Amino acid sequence: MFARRRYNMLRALLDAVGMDPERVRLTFISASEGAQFAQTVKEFVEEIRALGPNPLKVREVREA
Amino acid sequence: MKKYWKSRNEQEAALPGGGVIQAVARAILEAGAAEGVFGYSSDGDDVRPAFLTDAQSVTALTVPGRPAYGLARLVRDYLRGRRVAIFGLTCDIRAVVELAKRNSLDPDRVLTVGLNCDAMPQAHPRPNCLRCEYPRAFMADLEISVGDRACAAEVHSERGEAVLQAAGLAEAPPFALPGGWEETAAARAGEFTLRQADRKERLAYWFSQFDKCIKCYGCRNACPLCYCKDCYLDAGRGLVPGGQLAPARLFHLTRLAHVADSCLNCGQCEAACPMEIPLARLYHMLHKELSGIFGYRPGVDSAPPPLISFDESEKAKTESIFAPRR
Repeated sequence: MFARRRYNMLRALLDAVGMDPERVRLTFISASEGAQFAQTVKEFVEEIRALGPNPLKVREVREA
Repeated sequence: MKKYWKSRNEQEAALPGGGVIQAVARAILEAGAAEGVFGYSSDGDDVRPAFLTDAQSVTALTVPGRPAYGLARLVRDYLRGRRVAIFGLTCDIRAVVELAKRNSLDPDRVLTVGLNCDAMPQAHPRPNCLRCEYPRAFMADLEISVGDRACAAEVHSERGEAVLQAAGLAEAPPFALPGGWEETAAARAGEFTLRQADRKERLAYWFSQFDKCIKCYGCRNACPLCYCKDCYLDAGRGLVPGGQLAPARLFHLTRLAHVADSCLNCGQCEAACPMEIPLARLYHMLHKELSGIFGYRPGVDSAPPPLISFDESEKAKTESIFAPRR
């Protein structure tokens, strides 16, 4: 429940700054649902790939 | 109910506001309601925080034209455990409420007297002041709007009532507030336009702002809500790589994630930043959204902060309630 609130906060945060909140996902899966877990992750990885590189990844090196 | 007062002491009554603040402070000290009065005192052209323990020294108390210091945080850092009467602006009082929720100060030992901004001509307000929705400190024990020759005062607790009675003030004729608050309404509306810009623009804007950062920790140190003894952003915690300027943008996003649910829009972060990054703008912008989602008004509501609590009814919902905006 705490995670759910933080998840909603995080999505609002990403959108406010200008990043795509679709990069973050919360799903409730039990430990015994191995197949569903694997499937969910596979699908999500594909969705992330389609969204392209994370804007935070682009790093500029400043000259001193 | 609001009533109008001035001091019975002739010398005091000649002070701005009819000496009401001074009379109330004096009464608090003489009655032993607090060990000291913590407020703003005038220092030539500027104001500085002052802890006054001597009833004679209260004449130095003044009302600052802007939130110069975060008094609540200073009480936590320097006056913890002592019985203090804070004479602060609404943002100071709201910070007291939030810090009390985080066990950073004991609300029973902190008596709050709010100095309302609604009576002040907003000559050089900070950007965050323009966005403020709390010109009156109705969450304080006693709130005071300071006029030229008298003050309007309203009590909100037994403690506040007792203090007002003890001050032994004389009733004064009502006066009209200067109305500076309404005049800045247009400027205030202009502060909320950034959210409408499209996502790419917003990202470019904020990243260019974060790139100015010199990692001085001024924002973190000044924020009343940053109360962690071991801060996640400190060097050596492994989150933000050291030895890199500008720091990883995660620095700001992390602080934002930790504080946004309760951001008071006090503006101390922005005031502290040597690189003039409009931090309060971002934090307050996110906070307004979260306030709608969680239904939480920091510094006013007595509920615990949203990110460390949940409602029983939420257990029935397992889908995200946030609809992504394009």
